[in-house]
Amino acid sequence: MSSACLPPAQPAFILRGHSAQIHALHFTKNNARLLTADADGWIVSWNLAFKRPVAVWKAHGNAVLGVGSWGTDRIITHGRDDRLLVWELGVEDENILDKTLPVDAVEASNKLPWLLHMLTVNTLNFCPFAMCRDGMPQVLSTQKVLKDNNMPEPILIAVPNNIDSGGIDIYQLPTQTRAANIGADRDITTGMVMALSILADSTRIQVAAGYESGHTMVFVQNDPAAAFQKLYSARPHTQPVLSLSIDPSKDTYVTTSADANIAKHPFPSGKSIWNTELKTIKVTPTKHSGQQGLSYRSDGKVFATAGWDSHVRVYSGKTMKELAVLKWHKGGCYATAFAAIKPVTSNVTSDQASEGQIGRSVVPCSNQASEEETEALVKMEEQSSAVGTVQQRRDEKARNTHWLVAGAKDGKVSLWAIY
Amino acid sequence: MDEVRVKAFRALKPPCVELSQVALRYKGKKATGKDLIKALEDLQETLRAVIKQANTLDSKLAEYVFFPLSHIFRDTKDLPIRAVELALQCLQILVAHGWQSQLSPDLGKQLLILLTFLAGGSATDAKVKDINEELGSAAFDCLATLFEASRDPFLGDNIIQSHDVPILGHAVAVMLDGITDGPSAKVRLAALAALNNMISGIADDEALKNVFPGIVSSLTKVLSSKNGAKPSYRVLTASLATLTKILCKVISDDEAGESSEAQADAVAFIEAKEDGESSWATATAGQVRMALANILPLRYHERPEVRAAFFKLCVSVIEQCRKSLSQSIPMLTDTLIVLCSQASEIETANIFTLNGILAADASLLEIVKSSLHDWIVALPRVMQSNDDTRKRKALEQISTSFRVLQNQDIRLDTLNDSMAVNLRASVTAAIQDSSKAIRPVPESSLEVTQLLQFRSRSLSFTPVLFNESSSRIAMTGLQKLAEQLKALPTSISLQQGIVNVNALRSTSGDEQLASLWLSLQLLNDASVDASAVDQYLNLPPEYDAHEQLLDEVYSFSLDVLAKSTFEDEDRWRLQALALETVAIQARNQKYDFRPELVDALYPILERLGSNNAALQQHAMTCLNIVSNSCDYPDSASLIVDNADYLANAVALKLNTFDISPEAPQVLVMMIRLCGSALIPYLDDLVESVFSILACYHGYPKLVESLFSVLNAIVEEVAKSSTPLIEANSENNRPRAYQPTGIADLASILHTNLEQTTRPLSQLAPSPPEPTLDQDEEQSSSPPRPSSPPPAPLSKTDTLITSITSLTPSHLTTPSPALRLGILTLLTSALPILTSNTDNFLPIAATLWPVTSIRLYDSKENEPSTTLAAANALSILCKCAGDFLASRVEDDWDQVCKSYRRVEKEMKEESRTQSKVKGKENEIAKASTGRGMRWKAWNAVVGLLLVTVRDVGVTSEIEDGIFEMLGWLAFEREDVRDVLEMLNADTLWLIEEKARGEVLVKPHTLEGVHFRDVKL
Repeated sequence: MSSACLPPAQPAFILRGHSAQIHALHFTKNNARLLTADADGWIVSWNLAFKRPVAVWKAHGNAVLGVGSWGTDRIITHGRDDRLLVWELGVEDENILDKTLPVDAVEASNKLPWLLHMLTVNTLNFCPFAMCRDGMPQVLSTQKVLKDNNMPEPILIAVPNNIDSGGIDIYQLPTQTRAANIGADRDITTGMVMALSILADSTRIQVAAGYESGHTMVFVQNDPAAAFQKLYSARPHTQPVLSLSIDPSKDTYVTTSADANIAKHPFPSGKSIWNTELKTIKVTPTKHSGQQGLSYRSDGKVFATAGWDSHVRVYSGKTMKELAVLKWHKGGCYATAFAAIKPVTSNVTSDQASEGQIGRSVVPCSNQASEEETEALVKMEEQSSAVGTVQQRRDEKARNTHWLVAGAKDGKVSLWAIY
Repeated sequence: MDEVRVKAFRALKPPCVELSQVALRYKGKKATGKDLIKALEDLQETLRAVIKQANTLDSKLAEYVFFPLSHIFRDTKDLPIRAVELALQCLQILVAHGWQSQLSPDLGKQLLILLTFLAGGSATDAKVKDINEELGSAAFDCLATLFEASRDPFLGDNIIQSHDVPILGHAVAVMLDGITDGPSAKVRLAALAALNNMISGIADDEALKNVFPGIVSSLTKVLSSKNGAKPSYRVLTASLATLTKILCKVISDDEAGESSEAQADAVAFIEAKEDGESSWATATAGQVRMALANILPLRYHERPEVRAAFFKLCVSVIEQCRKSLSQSIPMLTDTLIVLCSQASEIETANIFTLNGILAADASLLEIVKSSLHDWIVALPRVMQSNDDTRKRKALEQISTSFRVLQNQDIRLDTLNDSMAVNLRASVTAAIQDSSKAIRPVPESSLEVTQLLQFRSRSLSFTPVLFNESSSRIAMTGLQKLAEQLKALPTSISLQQGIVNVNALRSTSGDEQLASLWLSLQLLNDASVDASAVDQYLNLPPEYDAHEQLLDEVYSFSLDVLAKSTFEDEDRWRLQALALETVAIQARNQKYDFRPELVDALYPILERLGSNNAALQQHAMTCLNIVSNSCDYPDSASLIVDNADYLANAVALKLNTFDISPEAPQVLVMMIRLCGSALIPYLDDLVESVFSILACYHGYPKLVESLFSVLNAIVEEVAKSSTPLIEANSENNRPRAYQPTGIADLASILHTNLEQTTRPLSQLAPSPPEPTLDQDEEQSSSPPRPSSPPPAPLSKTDTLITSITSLTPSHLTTPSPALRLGILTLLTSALPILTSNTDNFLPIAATLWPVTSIRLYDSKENEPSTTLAAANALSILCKCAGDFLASRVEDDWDQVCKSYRRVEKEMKEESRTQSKVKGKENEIAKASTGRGMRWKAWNAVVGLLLVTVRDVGVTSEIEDGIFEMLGWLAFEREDVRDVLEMLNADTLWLIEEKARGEVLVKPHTLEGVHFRDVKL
């Protein structure tokens, strides 16, 4: 990989336009768009072929914590103004939206995308939301309505509890009801929830959480009626956990923290009678403290972290060895994201990934396309043999580039085409 | 005998009688040659008149007329040549119109002998006398007519009996002599015509075969004559025609077999029949081949007539002697191609003929194909040579053969590889050849910004390769060839062979250049053709091979362009070609090309900054094409619209410490075009600039160019934010001078009184106390309690702040120009920053010492720097206001010193400038005609004024000010205004003093005691 003889890697492009630090990045619409969110509450949707903004709006009155997408046309933003918003932003909606970048904008434009849902949530923790597809069988009538509206499937959103900052609330969208609740641990002082990740399969819900104390825990609920069980608990970090991401294979998850450790943990789906004591799989001391914005690439081979020391680091998903250090930003980096890459069918990992649901990693840096997107992507791949116009080809190229993006304090987003 | 003949007879009789009488008398020396000639002329005239009516002469009449003529012929030796000539002409008429085909063999034979004798002397006694030119040609003419007239009956069956062969042989020999050695073209032509007629007239093959070798060799001799005297083209044409005729007649396939036989059986016949015959044929064929080989150079003859005749020869031989002369066929086929390839109107028709011939015979196509192959293989060698015509010919031949083969729908797949390789090698050779005489590349000193202002709208490139007129031929040839290759319907694989990206990437130098050039020739406008085809075929949206190739070459070109111009200065031609590729791609993709600008725009602009005028021109053209294709009204709006891409590209370049001189130039241009809207996006770029400055401060050129960028940024921001400063400038100004009123006076007096009454009194300052109190001002101004918490700095302001605070460290640079630039930069940057006091004042504090040093530095002695420093300080004072008061006070001595220095220099300068004029006039003069030192002085005066007006001065300084500027108050309104504001009373005092009035101490005023004041 990056050998000594190679010159230091250079970003392919720098997206300039935010005036505040970048807090969250997210690829959407089959990698055709990149959502960037900053500390002033601005969201920018970039066309990756043109590297220009297609929609700019101020989603929140305060810093944005996380951005995600639900289906192809819905965007979820989570701001420190205690709100979690779901916006409708199709390709045709882009035409009517403002394109003036936050740097140039004198005041926020009143042109906003259509708002679909609003949840009032706790944002005291700086913990961004986590989401996954709801595996729960739906009530028939609701489902029908949903199908009629051509809606994406329901999703679950995990956020810290409104009152108990060590607890976790799980909401369901589009119903906007609270589906479940996990209380704060009574035996261990965990402090606030710092990072979350959630995964659901039929009636089972798995939640991974990272805490202010450096603890990380996994909770599983196998039945809607039953309570969440804590299946795993460890304290690999001495500092608060900063980010957390479930491996695309859904067997493990990785945490980063304000200290220099990166830790890989098991992600149990149920209580095993064979092995009651689950152990942390690996803790890598990296000597670089303050890495956050952990994101996995969709094939699980690599993950990246954004360092406060302004370096973006790429690690091997398997060995957690440092593969590359990307240096461009002058200030600290806060977020990374990978473009979803072509699923290689021979690869067992990605097979599994496309079979079941794909878990949402901790959101600001989520790189995983939701399942619909993956399917659409596959479809696109099939069509791509019969290539069309120059424009289509170019979009195709932009979509298939193995982008790694990083956002930093200076308000810039660097695009790297590596691995 | 009908009436016409009778009439003719009557007409002819008198001149005939006359002629015979004169001839007899002449014999008896009774008549002169003149009389004879006269008689002959009469006869000739009559004859001509007679033959105007058809069928008037018959053989009887002819014989009648011939009788007197025979007298003449009998004594040709003694007669004047003119007479013989006239007689011959008469004879010719007789033969042509009288005897015609009824000429009796005997008479014919006699005439033949006679004419041969006349034309060339006797058979036995060869060359006894020189043949007169006129006589010779007349004789040959006559012979021709004779042969013509005596077609079948006489020559074929009658005359040429076996024993008559010598006569005929002699005649032929004479004719050939006439052809080869004839004294003039006329004679030669006449001889040729005679020979020609003989050949067509003769029916006896055997006889013809006997004379055939001689004829062929003589004709070959004429045709291949290399000695200085070139035969006239008519002779050549006629010779070729004759050769054609005899070849076809003697050894055509029919002839070699049997004339009556069908052609199909001919081969069988040759083999079956006559062995002797076939051995003769084989030997002859060999000889003919050699003869033809000898005349091959004629295919390049400059007269189209000759080439046309040669063409006819080839065609006839190929058509009629396919088998008998099979050895010569390849040669002749080649010749056909060569002849066809020499462009001219006549020869376009030839192509059709050629196509017809080739269509009829596939084996010929094989021949063409193999010669094409040979030519292609030989091409690189040819291109290396110095012979331009050879190059042109080679290219034309290849081109024609391609065309011909293409017309026949021949698949050329087998040729593809060698074609690709050799073409590339050829172009390489051509490039090497042309670059031997490399001219120095014209330097260009135009800045990028200027270039854009020129708004050149050129949309076509001037060729980078083969600029020299000598190699232009080669280029057009190669271009034509490429054009043809492109048009080949089956050419995709060939094109893929030529446009081989691997070859492009793996080669270097001229070879790479050649590959790219060839690719460009092939790809230019390629898609236009393709789309036209697709229209009819209704193919799916095409991503055809053309486009694919173009895409590959395009990405290669981008790679070429991505390399800094800094690195490969000498490879500009490759870069220019790469620019052309970009233009082609843009043309093809039109509006869709816009996203490509992410990668493509900056490299183009970078070349605009090149020193190489040709490359610069290329880049300009490319930019025009791109903006045209992408639907931008002009290149400036293209740049403005894509400034984000450019900023990105430049920032990435600078970030890697790529310090090519073009990047700053492009940046400056961008900033100028886009104005301040672009500035917020440049923050990281400015950071990079400063880190480069930190590393490379020893390179004045580079540093200067980087500072020009910073300057541009600052100036653009300044332009857009002027109103802001105006609104803000009323804050921390010193109070204006208030005239001392009675109350003030009273209080002053009161304090004075107190002071004087005190035991430890300090001396009161001699002039009245200034009204403004520095300390009070200081304490009251900074808090500004009412002002709201300052808004966070905008990105632009942050940027300017960082520029302003980072720049001064470079003021120590040894380059005066740079110092000047930095000071100017500061001058324009400062007003922008005043809007945010908290941010500005620290900057002002740090700026004052570094800037003022420039003013004080007497060693520097550079008026422009002094000027700029003074201006910068003025602005600084203006913006910072009384904040700087203490600093001014601390530095006052220095300021005074500087002022005195510049004043002195100014005066010296004005003295030297015009010694005649008085000093007074000098200063009153408008500043336009002033020298640099005056300007510097003026700036320092301005600085002092600003200091007084905006910063405020203590009383000590005030004194100094009046001392320095007092004398100016009479001349300059601005000085006066300021001084008045400072202290009107002092000003008055000075004015009074200047007027020369002595101030008298008032004698008495009640209750007041005046002290002595020394003024």
